[in-house]
Amino acid sequence: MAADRRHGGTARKAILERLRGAPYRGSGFDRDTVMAGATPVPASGSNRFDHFVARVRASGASLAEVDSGAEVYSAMTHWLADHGGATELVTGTDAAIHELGQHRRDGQPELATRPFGEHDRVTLTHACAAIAETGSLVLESGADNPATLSFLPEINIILLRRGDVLGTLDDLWPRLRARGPGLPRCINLVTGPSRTADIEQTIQLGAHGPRHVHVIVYRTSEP
Amino acid sequence: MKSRATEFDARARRALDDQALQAALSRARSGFVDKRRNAVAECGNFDDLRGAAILARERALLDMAACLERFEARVVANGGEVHWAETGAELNTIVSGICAAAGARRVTRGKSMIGEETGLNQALEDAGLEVTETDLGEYIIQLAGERPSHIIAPAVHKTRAQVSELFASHHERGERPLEEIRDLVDEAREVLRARFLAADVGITGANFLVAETGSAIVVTNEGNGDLTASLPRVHIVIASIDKVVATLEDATALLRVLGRSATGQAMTAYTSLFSGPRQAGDKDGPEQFHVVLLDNGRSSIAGSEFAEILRCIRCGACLNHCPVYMSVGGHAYGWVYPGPMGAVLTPLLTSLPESSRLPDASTLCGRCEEVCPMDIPLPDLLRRHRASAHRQRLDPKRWRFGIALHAWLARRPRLYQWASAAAARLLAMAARGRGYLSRFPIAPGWTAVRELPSPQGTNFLSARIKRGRKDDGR
Repeated sequence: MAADRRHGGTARKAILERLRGAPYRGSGFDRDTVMAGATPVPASGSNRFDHFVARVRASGASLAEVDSGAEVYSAMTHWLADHGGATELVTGTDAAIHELGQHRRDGQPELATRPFGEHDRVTLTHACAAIAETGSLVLESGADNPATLSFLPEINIILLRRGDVLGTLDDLWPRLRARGPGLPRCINLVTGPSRTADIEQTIQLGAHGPRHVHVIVYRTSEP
Repeated sequence: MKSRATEFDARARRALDDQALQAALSRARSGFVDKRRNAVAECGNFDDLRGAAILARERALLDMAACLERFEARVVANGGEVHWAETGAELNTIVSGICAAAGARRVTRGKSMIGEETGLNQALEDAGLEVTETDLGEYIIQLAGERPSHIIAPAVHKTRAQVSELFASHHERGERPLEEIRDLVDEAREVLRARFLAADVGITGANFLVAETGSAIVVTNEGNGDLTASLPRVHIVIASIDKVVATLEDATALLRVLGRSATGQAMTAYTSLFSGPRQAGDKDGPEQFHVVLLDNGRSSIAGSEFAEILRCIRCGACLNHCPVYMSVGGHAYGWVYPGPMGAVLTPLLTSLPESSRLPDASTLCGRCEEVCPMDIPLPDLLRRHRASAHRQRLDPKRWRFGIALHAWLARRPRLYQWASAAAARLLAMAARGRGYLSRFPIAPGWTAVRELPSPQGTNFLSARIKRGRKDDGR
């Protein structure tokens, strides 16, 4: 019952009463101006896709473009060969990934649809969108792309359709709202590999999450 | 957590003599300041972003009660649970209760200043739980048994050698290289990975709570927030009530200034929205999702003359640009929040008598206000605390005497003018024509390292009056 999931009756009542009794005084902005709504920031003028690529690379991730889905698997194998190689790519049930997987040739890494194991190195996920403004990949949690696959491996390869590159963060939200009420459990905006500067302010990659993030962008016939 | 803000003077003196701390602070100062400046310059329209962010914050604060109710309704509709705590102790009890009900033994924590405020780790350990901080900086200070000294970089006061020593003594791994930062980070990755996987409950903070969708937004660079939230069977979000924002667009406006102000990043590596427990078909994620909302004084601040401090988004820019913070570090402030925002907030969340030294520890230079992405008038708020402290007779007796004496003189213009003219003549004589004084009795500490320029022998008012008499032909 939804009512059972609301706790803290007296505290809740007291807090809300205090907030309503002596509300926030504000800074003297005109209340109508404040309540009017967010002022979105205009997208940068330059070519959206080029801007996206530049920001992805600036974040420390690598990015490759291929002309069609058929080339994705080879591009992936090629890149992995330069980064320690892999026999298996741990993945979810994402339909696009498995369709692209049909282009796998003998000797190339296999898709492994299972939870991430202690000895796995590489995961393969598919972004639902990307943001040119920040160079971020957007991933929705679920069986298709379990969230933990974005955080556990040494190497995370993220696939993206070129047409899914959006301009700004504000372009993402209407898309999510269109899915209907309720978001997935977790939405991740991934911008580059994991990093920390907690020791002597010196950046180090691969703090807890992946050391390498490789993005492969492919075109489809859809707009 | 008990406040030690009354010890500020002694702690600050010790901090100034601490060579390792001074080395760490000077590295941090240039790092943070330069990165922020570059990010602002690269962005080109930072002031527009700041304006939009302030309006987003105001929208939620003006409507806080309704936003919180909307947030609660959405979390519950998503299958999560919402709890309310008036005090830190209540929050600790609630979190311990959730852990006990889940039969938990091991807890991982993402960084949250709320947990520091309430002393959560101690409460959980008292209840028999094993608690591991997973943010690398927080993990380092957990090993050292210390408190965070900065709200973004908790271990900013530690040198590489100190971290190396901590790891060598706490991790049983035999002889291995621990000199390089890469070795330290790699070792932390391995050690903490085991803790992530073994945890029953993961507790994170939230940078923002989105009322529209019932989401907690967690921003990290390491990815530890996500491993804390997504691996265990229970995810608890602890957040203060002023973290609520109305819409996803409002959250976006705030995210745009947060990263740039804090670490000079337009976007951190991981910005995640958590909106509930695992859904049908999910292969991973927690079975339970709880949000514990903490008041601990915020609802009273909202209607007070200090309301604007609630706009703070915890970016740390004011700390990074404060000459006082960057000289003595965060531990001198004696509680959870250091620097300018800490000097304003600590008296409000604890009490002014316990912390009146903090608003005094400022030259009111105003750099904090300049860099604050929320335009919080920090020097004004510090002055208000000082005025309150004076009214409550919390300031030292000799200051009160000096202020009273000055006030007495200032109300008698003729006497004031005579006294200041006499003082000017005396000081000029004492300077013996050199133009400066190398010693000044009332301020020996100041003149120990500076020269006090002396007056010429007359003062402006006397000269003006004299000139006025001449001009009038008197």
